[in-house]
Amino acid sequence: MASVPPQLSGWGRLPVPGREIRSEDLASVARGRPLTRGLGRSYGDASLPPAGAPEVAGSALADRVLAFDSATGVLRAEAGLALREILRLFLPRGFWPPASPGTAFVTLGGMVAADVHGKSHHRDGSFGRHVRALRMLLGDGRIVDCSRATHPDLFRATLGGMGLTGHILEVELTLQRVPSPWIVEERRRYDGLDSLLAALRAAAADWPYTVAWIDTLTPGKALGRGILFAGRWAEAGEAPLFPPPARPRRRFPIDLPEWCLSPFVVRLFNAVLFGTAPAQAKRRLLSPEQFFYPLDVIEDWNRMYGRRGFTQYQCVLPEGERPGATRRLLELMIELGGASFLSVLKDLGAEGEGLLSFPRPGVTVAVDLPIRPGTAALVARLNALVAAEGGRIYLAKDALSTAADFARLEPRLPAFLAERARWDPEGRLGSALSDRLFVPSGRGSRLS
Amino acid sequence: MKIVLLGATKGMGRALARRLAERGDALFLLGRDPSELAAAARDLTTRRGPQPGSVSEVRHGRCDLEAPDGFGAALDGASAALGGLDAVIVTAGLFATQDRLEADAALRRRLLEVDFVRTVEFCEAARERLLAGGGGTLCVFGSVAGDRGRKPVCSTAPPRPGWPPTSRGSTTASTRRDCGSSR
Repeated sequence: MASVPPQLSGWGRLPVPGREIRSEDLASVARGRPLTRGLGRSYGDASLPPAGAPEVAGSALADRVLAFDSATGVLRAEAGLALREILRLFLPRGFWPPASPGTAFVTLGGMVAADVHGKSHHRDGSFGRHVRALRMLLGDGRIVDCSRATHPDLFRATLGGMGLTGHILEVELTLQRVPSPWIVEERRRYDGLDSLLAALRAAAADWPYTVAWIDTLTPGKALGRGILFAGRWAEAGEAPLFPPPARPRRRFPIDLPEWCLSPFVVRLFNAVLFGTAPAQAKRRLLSPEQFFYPLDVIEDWNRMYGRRGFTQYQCVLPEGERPGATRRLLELMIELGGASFLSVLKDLGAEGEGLLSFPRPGVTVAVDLPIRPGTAALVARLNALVAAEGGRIYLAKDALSTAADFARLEPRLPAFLAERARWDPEGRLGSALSDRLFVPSGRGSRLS
Repeated sequence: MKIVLLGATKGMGRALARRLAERGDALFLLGRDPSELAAAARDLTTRRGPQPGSVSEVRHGRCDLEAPDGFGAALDGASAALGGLDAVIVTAGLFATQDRLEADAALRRRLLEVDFVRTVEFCEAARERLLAGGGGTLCVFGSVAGDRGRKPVCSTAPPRPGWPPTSRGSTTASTRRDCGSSR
């Protein structure tokens, strides 16, 4: 029987030849390998091996908690510790990470590498702001500690550096104290983009967590209509004393056939979702899991996009400096027919320290795109608009941008590459993403 | 419960120790590498968190399956630290792939020695101490991965089939847990 070569893919289910080698001893499996991969939740090729070195180290078993100080909230752990595990262990003790992405199935190392952001970005910044120190295995085999005081250049290049400056072995961060294990959520729908953006700006002053779901299919006055979700921790007297019970996870049973993603079905889905959302602000008490990670309850929800897989396009636009940029992006999406179930919109706050970190002040939009013959061309058109507006794209989601696009989008790239070359002069580290985006001649996407 | 674990710094032993720690059991880790033991004990102690009415700190001591002379002292030390023994759990053992075992006779002998002879000797030492304390549970992990004959997993030496002799094992796709209870 002919053996099938092993394949690895990210959350978008676009594979390349590759294998993940896991061990509790992360340094031993990472040594000599080009990349460490966490739980594989980046959508494109950030966690996939570069050409010619098909084995990546897997960190998921290296998940020991090394220290926790309940007086200060400082946690030090191995890089493979999953966010879900941090929440399970520390929420009952009254602690929560100040920045959290849309899924809890990510590792500490992955959160540093992508410098993830979440619903609190307008207030708390990205994950890197709360990281105090890192232990890294460099490409040459040395193990070094870095922080804002020790090797600060390496530290800053690693926050948002997509794992390309060295293997992240240990992470020390500060958790924040929360008054209860429950969230008070307020949600309300808005009939168009302008009112939604204004509401989002206003909510930022009063609520630590905000996000909006928007309809990216309906043109005209209703363009960008959406539902705004705002949240805060319930005070002790407002909520039950005990944490909410864990919800059972259900598996997404099949790869959905393509007609389920036709514009008609998606439009219907969006209309129902929007139509059933309250027109006046409505409050309810939710578990943090329901509020922060609504999709985590469905295992393998990425099968929704069928066998061909999907990508997510996420960009940030400097709406403050270029008013109307978000509207222009949504109009282009409608023109190009980029149908998507749920699109997410969120205002971002101050830029972080990471040399290549994604967040900057403005509005971020994230849109799922099923893979079709024209998807790469669609991404190229969106990139052209984002570059013209002075925006950025998020590497944790990207799969199809080209090196030429990225060079136009990222004036910070040469500084990042110079810093990376200082710490890995022989170029031992790399990923399918760095092959695709950092090499000017551009190998292009290897995802098939 | 007061539980001693041999080989709980990695794999199934680590996963089980975490569950026991969070359940509030008093744990003592035995193993070969002091720094790995210390890190595992710290991990378990932190995961457990402060628990009223139970010993919160997980302690550890050295015990090597290849050094049988130390079995008794290691178990006695653990028992003294815990104030008695309710259960001893063994997940330690050597693992090698079929190709390495075929190529290296010394490794083959060492694996058989550790996974069979030394494990039995350790269990004997544990059994004596459990019975002396009025009974307890001895739980030994094995694997049937080799039984399935799948390279590169060892098929010449499926670790510990049929041990302990009072085994009431249940077989799953990849592991078998042999538990002999003398209580």
